[in-house]
Amino acid sequence: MTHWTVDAPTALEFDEVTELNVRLIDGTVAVLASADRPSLAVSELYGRPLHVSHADGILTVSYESLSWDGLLGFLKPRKDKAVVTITVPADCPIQLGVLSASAVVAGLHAGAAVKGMSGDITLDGVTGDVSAETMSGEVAGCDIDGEIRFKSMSGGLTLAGGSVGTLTVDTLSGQVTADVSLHESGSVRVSTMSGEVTLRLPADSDAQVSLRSTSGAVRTEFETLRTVKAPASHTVSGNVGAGSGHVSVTTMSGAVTLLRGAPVGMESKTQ
Amino acid sequence: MTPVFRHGRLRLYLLRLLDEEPRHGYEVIRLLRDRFMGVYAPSPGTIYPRLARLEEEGLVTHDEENGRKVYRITEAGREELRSRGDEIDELEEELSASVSDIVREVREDVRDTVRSLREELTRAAREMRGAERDAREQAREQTRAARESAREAADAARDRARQAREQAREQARQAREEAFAHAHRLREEASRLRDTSKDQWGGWGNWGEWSRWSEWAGRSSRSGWPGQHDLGALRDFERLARDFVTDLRSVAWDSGTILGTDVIPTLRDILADTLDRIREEVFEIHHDEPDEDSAPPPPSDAPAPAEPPAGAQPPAAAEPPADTAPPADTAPPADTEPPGAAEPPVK
Repeated sequence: MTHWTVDAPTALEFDEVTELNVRLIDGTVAVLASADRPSLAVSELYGRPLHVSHADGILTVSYESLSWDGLLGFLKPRKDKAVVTITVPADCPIQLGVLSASAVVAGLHAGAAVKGMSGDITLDGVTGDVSAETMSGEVAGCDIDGEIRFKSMSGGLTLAGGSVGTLTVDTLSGQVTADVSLHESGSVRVSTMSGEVTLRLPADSDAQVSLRSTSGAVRTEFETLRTVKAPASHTVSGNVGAGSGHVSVTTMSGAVTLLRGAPVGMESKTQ
Repeated sequence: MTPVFRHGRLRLYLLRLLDEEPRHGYEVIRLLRDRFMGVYAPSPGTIYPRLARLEEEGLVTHDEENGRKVYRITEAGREELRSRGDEIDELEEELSASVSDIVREVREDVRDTVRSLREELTRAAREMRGAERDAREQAREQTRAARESAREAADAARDRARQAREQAREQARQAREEAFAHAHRLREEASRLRDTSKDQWGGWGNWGEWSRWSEWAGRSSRSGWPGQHDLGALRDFERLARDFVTDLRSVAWDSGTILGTDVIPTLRDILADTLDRIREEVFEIHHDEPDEDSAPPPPSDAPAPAEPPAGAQPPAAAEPPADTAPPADTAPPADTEPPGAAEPPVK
C-alpha cells in the first residue's frame, strides 16, 4: 500500500486503479476515463492536506476523518479546498463524496455513486449503475445509460439524452427534467413533493404510464393516455405502445408534463 | 481546444521526455497522448520530423535497437533544458491546465446541453399549456354561445308562459266576472221571484234562496225566462256566453293588431245593439214580466254588457227551443254579426 499526504499541487501516476473513492469538502473533483495510466493531479489546495492511498488497485483520496457514511453529517464549515483531477480506466467503479465541492464524472462505464451537499454534480456519458444524492446541489447528466437513482432535498435533476433501464427519482422540491428513452421494459419512477416534473419520452416508447399530482396540473402529449380530474387528484394514465415498460410520476403540488419526443428510430432531434 | 503547444514548446517538451530516459519515437507519441488524456494525440508526422530536427541541432542522438530508433538526449540537449528551466516549469503548468481544460469543457458542455434541454422542454410544456388554454377558451366560447341560445330559448319560453298565464288569468277574470254576473242575475231573479211569489204566494219569502230557486226552476211551465227552465239549460246558456267571450277574444287576438282603446267604444256600441236585439228578439215576450219588477233589466244590462249578448245566444240554442225557436234562429246571425263587424275596426 502506498500512501501520500498531499499538501501542495501534485501530479501522481498509478499502475492500476480498479476502484476509486474520493471525499472532498470544497473545490472540484473531476474523474475522467482514460485508456492510459491512471493519474491524479491536485492543482489547487487550501487548508488541510489531502490523504491519498493506493492499495490493491483501490485509490482513495480523502481528508482524515471524513468517511463515506459520515459525510452528510459533516456539516461544520470548512476551509479545506482542493481541485483534484483523476483519470482512471473507463471500467473503474467510483464513489465520490463531496460537501460543497462540485463533481464532474465523464466517460465511465462501470457506474458512479456521487453524494453531495450543495455542490453541483455533472455526469457526462456515464453508464452502469449511477446514483446521485444531494441536498441542494443540482445534478446534470448527458447521455447517461443504465440504472439511475437520484435523491435530493431541493436539488434538481436534469438528464439530457441517454437511455434508462430504471430511473428512480425522489426529491422534495427539486425540479426534474429528463429527456431519455427507455430500455425495453425499463421503468421510470419519479416522486416529488413540490418539484415540477417534465419528462420527454420518444414517441415510440413502450410503457404503462401513471402520472399523478394532488394539486398540480398534469399534462401529456401522448394521446393514448386518459386524463382524470378529481377534486384532490389529477391523474393521467394509460398505455403508450404495448405498455411493457413503466412510467410513474407522483407529486403533491408539482406540475407534471409528459412530452412526446421524436421516435428513437429517428434521433438527432435534440442537441 | 486551444493549441496545446505554443511555438517552440513541443520541441522543449520532447527534450524533457528524452531527458527522463531514452525512448522510441512511438513511445514519445504515446506519452504525449497520455499527458493530454487522449485529447491531444500528436501524429508521427508531427513528431518524427521534429526529432530529426533536434538531432540535426545535436541536441539528441539515436541508436538502432531491433530496427527501431531509440532517441536519447545529448549533453548539448541537457544544457538547452537547463538554460530554459523557467520555460519548462511554465510548460508543466500549462499542461496540467490543459487537463483541467478538459474538465471545464466537459462541465460547460453538459451545463449548456442541460440548460438548452430545460429551456426546450419548458417551452414545449408552455406551448402545450397554450394549446390547451386555446382549446379551453374555445370550449368556453362554445359553452357561452350555447348558454346564450339556451337563455334566449328560456326567455322565449318564459314569454310564452307569461302570455299563457296572462291569458289564463284573463280567462279566470272573465269567468269570475261571469260568475259574479251570474250570481247577480240569480239574486235578481230570486228577488224578483220573491216579489212575484210574494204577490202570488206570499209566505214563500221566508224560504231559503236555494229552495226557492229550485222551486222556481222547477216551474218550467211558467212563462218565465226561457233559459231558466232547469239547471242544465242554465249551464248551456252560460257556456254559450263563455264561448262567445272566448271567440271574441280570439278574434281580437288573431287580428294581430294592438287592441287600442278606440275600438272599445265601437265594440261597446255593437254589443249594446246586439244586446238590445237579443232583448227584443229573444227575450221579447218575457221581458214584459220582468219589466214589471223593474229590477231584472237594469242588472242584466249592468253586470255584463259583453255577456248578455253572448248569453243571448245560448238561451236560443239551448233549452227553450219551443219557446224561442224563431228568435234563436235570428239571434245567432245577429250575434255573429256584431263580432264580425267588430273585427274590421280592430284590424
